[in-house]
Amino acid sequence: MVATTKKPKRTPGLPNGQTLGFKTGNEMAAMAAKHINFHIMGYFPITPSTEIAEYLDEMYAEGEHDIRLIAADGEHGGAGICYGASTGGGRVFNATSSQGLLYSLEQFPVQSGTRFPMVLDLVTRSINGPLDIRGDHSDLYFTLNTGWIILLARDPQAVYDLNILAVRLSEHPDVRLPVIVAYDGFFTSHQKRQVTYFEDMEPVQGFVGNYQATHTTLDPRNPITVGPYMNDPDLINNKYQLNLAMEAAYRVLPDILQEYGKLSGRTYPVVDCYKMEDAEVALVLLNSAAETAKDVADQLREQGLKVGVVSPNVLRPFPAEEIREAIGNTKAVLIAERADSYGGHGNALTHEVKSALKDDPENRTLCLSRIYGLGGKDFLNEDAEALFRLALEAADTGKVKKLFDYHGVTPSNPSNGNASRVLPPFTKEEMSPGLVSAARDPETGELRVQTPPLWKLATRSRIIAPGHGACPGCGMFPAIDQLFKGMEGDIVVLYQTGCAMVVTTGYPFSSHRVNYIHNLFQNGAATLSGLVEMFHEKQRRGELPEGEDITFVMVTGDGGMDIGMGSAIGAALRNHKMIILEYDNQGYMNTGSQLSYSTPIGHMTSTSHVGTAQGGKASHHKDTLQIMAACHLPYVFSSVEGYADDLVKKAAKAQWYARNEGLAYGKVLISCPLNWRVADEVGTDIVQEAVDCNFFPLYEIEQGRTKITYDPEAVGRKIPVGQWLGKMGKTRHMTRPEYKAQIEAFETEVERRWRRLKAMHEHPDL
Amino acid sequence: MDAAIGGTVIDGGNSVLKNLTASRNGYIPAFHRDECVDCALCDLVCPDFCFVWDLEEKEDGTQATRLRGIDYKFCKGCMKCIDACPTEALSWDREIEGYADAHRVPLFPKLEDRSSSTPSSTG
Ligand SMILES: Cc1ncc(C[n+]2csc(CCOP(=O)(O)OP(=O)(O)O)c2C)c(N)n1
Ligand code: SF4
Ligand code: SF4
Ligand code: SF4
Repeated sequence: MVATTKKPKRTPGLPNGQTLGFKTGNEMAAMAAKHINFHIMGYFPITPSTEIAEYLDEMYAEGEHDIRLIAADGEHGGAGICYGASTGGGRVFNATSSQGLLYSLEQFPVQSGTRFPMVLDLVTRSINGPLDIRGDHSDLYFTLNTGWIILLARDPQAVYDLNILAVRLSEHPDVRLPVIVAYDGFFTSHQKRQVTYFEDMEPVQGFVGNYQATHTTLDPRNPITVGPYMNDPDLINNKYQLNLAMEAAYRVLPDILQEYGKLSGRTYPVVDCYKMEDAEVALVLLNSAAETAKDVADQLREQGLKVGVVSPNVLRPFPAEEIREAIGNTKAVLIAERADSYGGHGNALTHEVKSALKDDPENRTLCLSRIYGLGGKDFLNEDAEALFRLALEAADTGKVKKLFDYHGVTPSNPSNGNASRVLPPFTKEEMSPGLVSAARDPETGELRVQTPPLWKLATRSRIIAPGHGACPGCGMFPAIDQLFKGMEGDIVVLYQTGCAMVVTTGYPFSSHRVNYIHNLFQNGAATLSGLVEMFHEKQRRGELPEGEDITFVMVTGDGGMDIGMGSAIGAALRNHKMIILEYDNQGYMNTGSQLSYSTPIGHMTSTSHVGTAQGGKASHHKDTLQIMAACHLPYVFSSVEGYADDLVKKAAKAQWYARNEGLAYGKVLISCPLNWRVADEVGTDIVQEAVDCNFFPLYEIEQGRTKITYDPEAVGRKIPVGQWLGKMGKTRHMTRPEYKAQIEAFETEVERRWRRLKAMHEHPDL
Repeated sequence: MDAAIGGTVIDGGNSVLKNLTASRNGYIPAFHRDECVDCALCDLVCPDFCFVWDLEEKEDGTQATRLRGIDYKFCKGCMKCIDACPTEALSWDREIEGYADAHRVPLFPKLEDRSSSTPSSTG
């Protein structure tokens, strides 16, 4: 759904051509971006901020704005795209959350330290590990020391308004700093609220004006050096300038808020104070939870209790004066934080509020600090009331019983922790049924594998238990299972972030009957390589039982081979004894089907929409197999779900190489009925057609020798790509006459890669 | 509060306590033993590992795998198995109440009295 498809009707009585609507925070962020019409957005999908790029892409496909949307290889790359673009003196936007923020954090001080304005929407979410997609502020707190201005948007209306304000603030000649607009994941990003917004972009354009950058790297007649090498004694001066810019932001912000108030009719204070005039007790907290606290304050006021709520609209620069004014006369305040600074007896807000009070030597306000709502745990009225009661008690008794604690931890359940395993671990014999074998032919030197007829493998123990949560008809697990059917001996798996990981490990359940690790998908290969080396080192030191034989397998999606490409290549170049299995479903499916670099041209995804101004993905699919082959691995293979004979044999070879030579990599095409928009039962047939049209050739590269293992032409099964594309909802549009050029370009590319592969097959040195 | 530290699940495989019946929407693969040739093609494509096999000793001393049935507790009704089956042993039926329970072959018979609400030692 797009934020605005049809022109909304102007609502009479609202200033400057505004209209009423009912929208989520993410819709409002996209709407603001569209009205600002940034030059560039560099981004990488991550829940719960992904929708912003999706909405913008959908609008772009219909020609509603000109923002050039660039799907990065990861958030670190996304931040790099934004940084580079911002040095060119244009307007730049990004949106991220959680791990995305942390993965790009290194770039934040670069952006602020070299003083290039941009806007980033941080849709707050808990940080890993363990992985949690819901909203808390553990990501937000990491940004406090980065030199970025931080605005806090408590509801969808504020998301829209503060994004527009952010542009003005960041570009102010005295400021020139990047700005974060932070709002609560799910609570604000996904819940619809009544909102008001400008019908057209003109009023917003008028408000943000033209950006005249201080420096630009796009004026060859005025060359500049951005980011010199700067040691002492200069760096402290650079940071002092940054500090002055923050002070300037503090100074100019009220004026900008005023000016926007005149335009929109909505004026934001620097600190939002609710019923604070005569309050004796207050809660201090950030964003959406403050709105809950306000409701509870009303209820408590009905009982005659003088309570109020304070929540800043800006966190950097920290509005110490306004906070002191707001709560200086209260008897007790409780500062509630949705993230901990473990061991810090309260996170930054606690200590900054306390220090704001301390600057008034007369101040007698008692301060309590509580951590609440971690991992997106709801903050309900009763939670707010419980916190108010703690502060009221302190005000009444004049004493703080407990300065710092957690609120909302589940008490122990005595029946937990002592039950037996649901399924017994596999025995060594069960893991080595002796059905598959691989050995070098001593005469020819060729690796020969022996696999039984497939029906014989039906009783082999499965290392993935049923009960996982994949969509009906998903091709992931048949493919992964077939891979393990081709192996013998103990297995340790590492799954990178993605569907296979999420649907098998929803706490407190796990479908993994062997040792399993998750690490984030930019770093799985490195992680597993560390474990592989620990295994061999422990073996060398005699710390593991004699004869222990473990095969280490990383399972990743195609998205994980985008963001994790560097890590995978690193492991490949180090040639650890392990296997990387990529299941390729042609997109980032776990986060809602965004394009991956493996998505072929023209395919429709939620970040490559089909419309009048754009026809699906603009570039060709990545040839990950050849990239990995260029690392000169002992073994590289492709296969598909539902071609079990092929996959089982290649798995046996991969295991042999991982035991004896080094890293083996395989890419297996699997169906995703949900996002390919096909019926649940046809996935296997569709991937077969992807092979038969030469889009996804089945081959292997064994010690540098390429061998096509199935040639559709040779067996008379070759079909045109159009036949395959016509079967899927995500590509059916490509078979229409207006996409003729695109489908031809696709076919040409597919055939070119196929001819190249055939040449390699024929020539031992290619 | 008494969970294993680090969020570690120390009981991998406990997802078998789940019941996925609600994922089906009105249709179910019915199994007809007399038509089955035990080729296991259904088993290879099933995303949810629902097929239950017996290992049988044949007269000549060799072992044979024999398909016993389907554990409908895990079946999401995707019908991939029907697409894969070369015979008439699987049919695409409308799910009548009680059918799944009556025809279900449990994959983990020892677990039949455990409910899905109590995953164990992960705490
Ligand atoms: C650093 C980081 N960025 C983004 C995400 C969000 N994320 C989780 S899974 C995923 C997509 C994974 O795609 P792929 O590897 O193809 O696996 P699939 O979901 O398709 O199974 C994304 C973008 C994340 N967890 N961490
Ligand atoms: S979204 Fe696609 S890949 Fe992910 S579980 Fe569902 S069908 Fe499988
Ligand atoms: S319908 Fe799908 S889930 Fe059910 S048994 Fe067949 S393949 Fe498995
Ligand atoms: S595919 Fe059909 S014939 Fe083959 S084992 Fe399964 S049910 Fe029997």
